[in-house]
Amino acid sequence: MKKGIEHHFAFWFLVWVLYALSISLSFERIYISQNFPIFYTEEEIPDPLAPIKDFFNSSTLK
Amino acid sequence: MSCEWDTARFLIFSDNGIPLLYYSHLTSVAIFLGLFILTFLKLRPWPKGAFRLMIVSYVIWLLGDLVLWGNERIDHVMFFWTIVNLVEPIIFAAAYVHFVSFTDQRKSTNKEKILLFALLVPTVIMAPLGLSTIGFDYTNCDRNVVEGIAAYYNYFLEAVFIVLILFHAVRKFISIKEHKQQVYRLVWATVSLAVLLTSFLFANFFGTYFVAYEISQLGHVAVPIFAALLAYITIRFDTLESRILLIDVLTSSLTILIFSLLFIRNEDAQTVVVLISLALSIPTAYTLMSGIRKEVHSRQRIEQLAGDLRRANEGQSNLIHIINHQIKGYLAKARNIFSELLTEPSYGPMPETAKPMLDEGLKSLTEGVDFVKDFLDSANIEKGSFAYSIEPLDFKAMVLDAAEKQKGLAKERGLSFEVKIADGDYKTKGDKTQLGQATRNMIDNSIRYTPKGSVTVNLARAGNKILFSVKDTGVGLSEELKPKLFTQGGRAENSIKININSTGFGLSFVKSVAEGHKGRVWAESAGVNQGSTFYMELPVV
Repeated sequence: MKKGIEHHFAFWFLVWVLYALSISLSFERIYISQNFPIFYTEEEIPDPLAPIKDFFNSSTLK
Repeated sequence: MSCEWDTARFLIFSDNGIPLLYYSHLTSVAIFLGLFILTFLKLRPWPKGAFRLMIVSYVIWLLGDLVLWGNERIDHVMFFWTIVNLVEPIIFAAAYVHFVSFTDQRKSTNKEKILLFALLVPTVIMAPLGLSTIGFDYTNCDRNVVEGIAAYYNYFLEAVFIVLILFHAVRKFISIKEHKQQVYRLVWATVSLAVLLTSFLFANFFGTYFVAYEISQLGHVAVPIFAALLAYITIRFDTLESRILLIDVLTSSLTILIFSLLFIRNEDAQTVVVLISLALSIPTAYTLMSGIRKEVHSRQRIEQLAGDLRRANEGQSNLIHIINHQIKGYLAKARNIFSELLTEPSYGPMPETAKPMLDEGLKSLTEGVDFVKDFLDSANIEKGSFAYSIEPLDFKAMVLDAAEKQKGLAKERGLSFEVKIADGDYKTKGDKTQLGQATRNMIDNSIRYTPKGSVTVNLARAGNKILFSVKDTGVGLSEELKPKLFTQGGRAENSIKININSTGFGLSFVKSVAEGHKGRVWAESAGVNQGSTFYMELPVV
C-alpha cells in the first residue's frame, strides 16, 4: 500500500516536473530570449511537415 | 506593416476576436466549472481523478485560446499558443482514462498511466524546441502562429485516443451485451465523449490545415451537448441523484456565466444589470440547490425506512407464524387430553362435579384451536404459500353442513336462523375444507355481530356462478369500515366489545379463499345498526 502511494506520487511528480520544465523553457524562449522568427512574407513561412518529409526523403529509406 | 489591434483587458477581452468567441468559450468554461464542482459531491462512486484532469485541461485550453484571439501582443500569442498545444492531448488522454474507469468502475493501473504519459512526452519535449509553435505569421493581421510538427503529432495522438475509446467501448459491449441497462449506459457514455472529442479534434485540425481558425469555434458546440448527454446518462441510470446533479450544473453554470459577463463589456448600465442579475441568481441558486438536495435526501431516507419497515414486518410475520404453530400444538394437545378424559372409558367415570369444568375446558380449547387455525390459514393464504386441494364438491351440501354446525350458536344467542336454498345444481370443484371453513366463517361472523333479530343464509345460482350470502339484522357497516372489512385485522373499532373472539382475520380468510377459487366477496349495508349482507360469488367449474 505504502509502496503504491510512493509510486503514485513519484509518477505525478515526474509529470509535473516535465510539464513545468517544458512551460518554463517555452517561457524563456518566447519572453526572455525572444528566440522565434516573425514571418513577414509568404515565402518565409516554413512547411510545418518538413521534418516528416525530410525523414521520408532521407538516404536510409532510399 | 502595422496592424490596428485592440488592447486586451485581462489578457482576453478585446475586439480582436469574433464576438461569438466569448459565448462559445465562456459558456464551455462555465459548464466545465459546474461539472468540476459536481465531482466533489457525494454522488455515485466512480473514479473522478481523470474526469477532473480532463475538465481542468479543457478549461486551460479554452482560456488559453481566448488569449490567442483577444490579445494583441505577439509574445503572449506565441506563449499561450504553446500552452494550448501542450494541454490539448492531455484532454484526450484524460478522457480515455476517464472512459475506462467509468465503464469498468476501476482506477487505471500505474502501467497504464506510464504508457499514456509516454505518448505525451514528445509534445512536452517539442514545445520548448520550437517544434510546436515555429514563429509568428505577420503576412496579414490575423495574429496567427505558424504551427510545427508537434501540432500534427497532437492530432495524430488525439485520433489514437478516440480510436482507443471506441475500441474499448466495443470490447466492453461484447462482454456486457446480455445486460440491457449496462449497454445503454455504455452507449450513451461513448456517444457523449465521442461527440465531444471528435468535434474538438476535427474543428481544430481543419482550422489549422486551412489556417481558418474560425472553424475551430464550431468544435465547442459539443460542450453543452456533452453536458446534456452526461445529464441524460445520470437521469436515466442514477435516478434520484440526477436532480441534484442537473440543478447544480444549471445553477452554477448560469451564475458563472452571468459573472463572466462583467468582464466582457464595462459600460455602466450593463454592469448594473449584470450585478443585479448576479445578486438575484446567487441566492436563488443556493435556495434551489439546497431545497432539491434536502428533498432528494429525505426521499432517499423514506425509501430506506420503507425497506426497513418491510423487512421488520416480514420478520414479525414469520415470528407470529412460528409462535402460532407452537400455540396451536399445545392447545390441540390439551384439547385431546380433555376430550379423552371425557370420552375414554378406561379412565373411569369423571366425578359429576368436575364434568362442567371439563366440558367448559374442552369447549374453550376447541375454540382456541379454531382461532389459531383461522389465523394461520389466513396468513398462509395471504402469503401465497397455501396449496388448495381441488376436488369435486357439492356446494349445497357444504352450506347445509356449515349451517348445521352454526345453528347451535345462533340458538344460544337467541337469534332466528334460516337457510334458503334456491333450486339448481350446485356441483362444482374446489377445496372442500377451505370453502367449508369460509362459509362457516361468514355465518359465524353474522351470528356474532347480531345481538338480536335473525340471520338468513341464502344460496342461489346466477348464470354459471354460485352466489352464497348471509343476511343479518346486526350491527351493520359504517362507510369507513367497508374498505377494510376483508383485510387482515380489518374489524370495527368496537368489534371486540360485541365479539370477544374477534381476530379480524375471519373475513380476510374468506376473501383469500374466494379469490383463490377465482371468485369474489363483498358486503352491503344500509349503515350502522341497519344489518348487513355478506356475499361470496364463485364460478362453477
